[in-house]
Amino acid sequence: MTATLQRPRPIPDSLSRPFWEAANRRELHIQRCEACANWQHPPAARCYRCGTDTLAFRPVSGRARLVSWTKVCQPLAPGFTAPVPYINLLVELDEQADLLVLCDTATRPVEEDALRVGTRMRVWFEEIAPDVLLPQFTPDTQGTP
Amino acid sequence: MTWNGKGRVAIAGVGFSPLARHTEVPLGRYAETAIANAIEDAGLSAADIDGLATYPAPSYRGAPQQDGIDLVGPEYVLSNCRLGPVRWYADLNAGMAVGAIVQSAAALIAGACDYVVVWRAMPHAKAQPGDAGPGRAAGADAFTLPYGCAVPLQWHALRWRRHLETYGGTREKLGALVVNSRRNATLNDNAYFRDKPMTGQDYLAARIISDPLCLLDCDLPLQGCVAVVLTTAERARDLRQKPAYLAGFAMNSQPRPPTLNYTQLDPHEAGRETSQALWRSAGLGPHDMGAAMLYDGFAPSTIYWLESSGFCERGEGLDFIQDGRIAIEGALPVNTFGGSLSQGRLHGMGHVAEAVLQVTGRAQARQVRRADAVCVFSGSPMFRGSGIVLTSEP
Repeated sequence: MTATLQRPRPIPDSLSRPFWEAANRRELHIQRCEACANWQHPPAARCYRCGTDTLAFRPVSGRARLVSWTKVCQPLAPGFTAPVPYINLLVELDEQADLLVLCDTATRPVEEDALRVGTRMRVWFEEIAPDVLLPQFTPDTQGTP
Repeated sequence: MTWNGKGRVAIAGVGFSPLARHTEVPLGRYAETAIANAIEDAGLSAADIDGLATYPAPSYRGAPQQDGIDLVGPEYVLSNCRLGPVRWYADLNAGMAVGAIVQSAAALIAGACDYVVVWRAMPHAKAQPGDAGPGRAAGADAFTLPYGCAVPLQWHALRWRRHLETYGGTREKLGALVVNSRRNATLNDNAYFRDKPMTGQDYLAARIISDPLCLLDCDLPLQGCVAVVLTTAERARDLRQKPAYLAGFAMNSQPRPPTLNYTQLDPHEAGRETSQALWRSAGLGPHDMGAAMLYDGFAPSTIYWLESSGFCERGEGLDFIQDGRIAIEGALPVNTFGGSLSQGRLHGMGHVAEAVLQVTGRAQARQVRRADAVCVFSGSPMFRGSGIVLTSEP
C-alpha cells in the first residue's frame, strides 16, 4: 500500500503526442477535423464524422460543463490508494456536445454537494513529474454560464 | 428479414461445473466437468462431439493467459477432453458467449460439424488494469489511468449517474432488480447465492464503492464453467432432451466514435441497433418473449437492455422493474436464474443456459408460465452487445 498519490504517467504515442506536448506548455489542444470541423477525443486516425484523415490539434477554450461524477470510496486504481475517497469528474468541453474529458479531484478536492450537472468548469494543469503535466478541471467560480 | 437459419439449429444439452469463490483446482478441470455434463445432458458421448467454440477472454486486460489456468481455449479441450475426432473449432474473442453460439450455428448449417460444444470458463481473478507496466499508462489508458479511473465499475458509475440525472431514479429502485435476482438464485441449485436470500434493506446497507453504485450492483466474481451442446434441429429431435431452437441472433456492429471508455457511448442507441436486428432476425418482438435474460455484469446494464430492446420506453426502466413485474410470476420474468449478480460472473453463458432450460420446460421451481420464446442479451449494450432468441418450436 502506498502512502502517497502516485499517478501513472501518460506515455505519448503517434496519435496523442501533440495533446501531451501542448499540455506540457499548459495548453489544452484537442484533435479537430480540418474538413468538417468536428472535434474528437481521445485522438483517432480518422474523423469519426466524415471519415477523412485531415486531422490537426487545435487549442480549445478550456471551458467546460460538468456531465457526471463518481465518488471513489475504496482503492480501485493503481497509485490511487492514498487519496480515497476522491471524485472522478466527466466534463463536456464548450466547443462541442459530447466532447468528453475525464479528470479527478485527488489533488484539489471539491465539495461533492456543490457538484451539479452543468456546473461550470475550467482547465488547470497539474505537474505530476518534471515536465509531465496533466490537464485537470475544477469548478469555475468566476465562470459565466 | 427473418434469418434463413431460423429453427435449423438447436441447443440440446446444458452442463455446469461447480461455482467456486476460492479454489486451488485449475480452471481447466472446471471446463472438463461442465463439458462432460453438457454432453451427458444431451444424451451424447464424447466421441460424438466434432466441433468446439468458446469465448476465452481472460478476466481483465493484461491478465496472464495460460490455457487451463487463466482461461480455457480450444487447445486445452482438444488435448484434455478426448472428444471427437474434432473437425471444426473456434476461439472467439468477440460477442461474449453469444458470439460463440452464433458462430457454432453457422458452422452446423454449413455442415462443418454435427455436434458442437460451446463453453465459457471464468477464472476468478482480481482486475489489475492497464498493461503498460506499473506507473505508466499507454494508448487510451493515458487519458484515464493518470486520473485514477481504472476499472469498469467507475465508468459504469459515471454512465449510471448520467442516466439518473436525465431520467430520475433512486438506489431503492435499482435495488428491486438486485433483490429479484437474489430471490431467483435461491431457486437455482446452480447459483452461488442459492442459500443467501436478501432484502431491499440489505441492498441499501451494502457499501458504496464508486457512487452511485454499491457492491451488490456488481456481478459476483467466481471460478466456474458452463457448457452447452449445439446440433442441427434434425439431430436434436433424436436426443434425450427437448431441443431449444435458435430462432435468431444479432451482433452489434455500428461504427463507434472515439470515446474515453465504451460506457460513455449511448447505451440506448447501441442497444436499439442490436435488439432491432435481433427481432428482425427472429421474426419476433419483445411482446413475444416469455422471459428475458439480460446481461448484468453491472446492474444498470439490465436497465439499458430493458429500455433499448423495447420492453419499456427510454428512461422508464427503473419504474418498469418495480412491483414484481420482472419476478418469475410477473409480466416479464427477468434473469430467472439469478443473473450474474447472484448466480455469478459467467459472462453471459449463465443467461444462455437459463434460456435453454426455460424454453424446454426444465427450469423446475423457476419455470415461467409462458416459455415458448426467451431472449438473451449478452454484454452491456455499448460493449458490442449481442443477442439470441431461443424457442420451444422451430
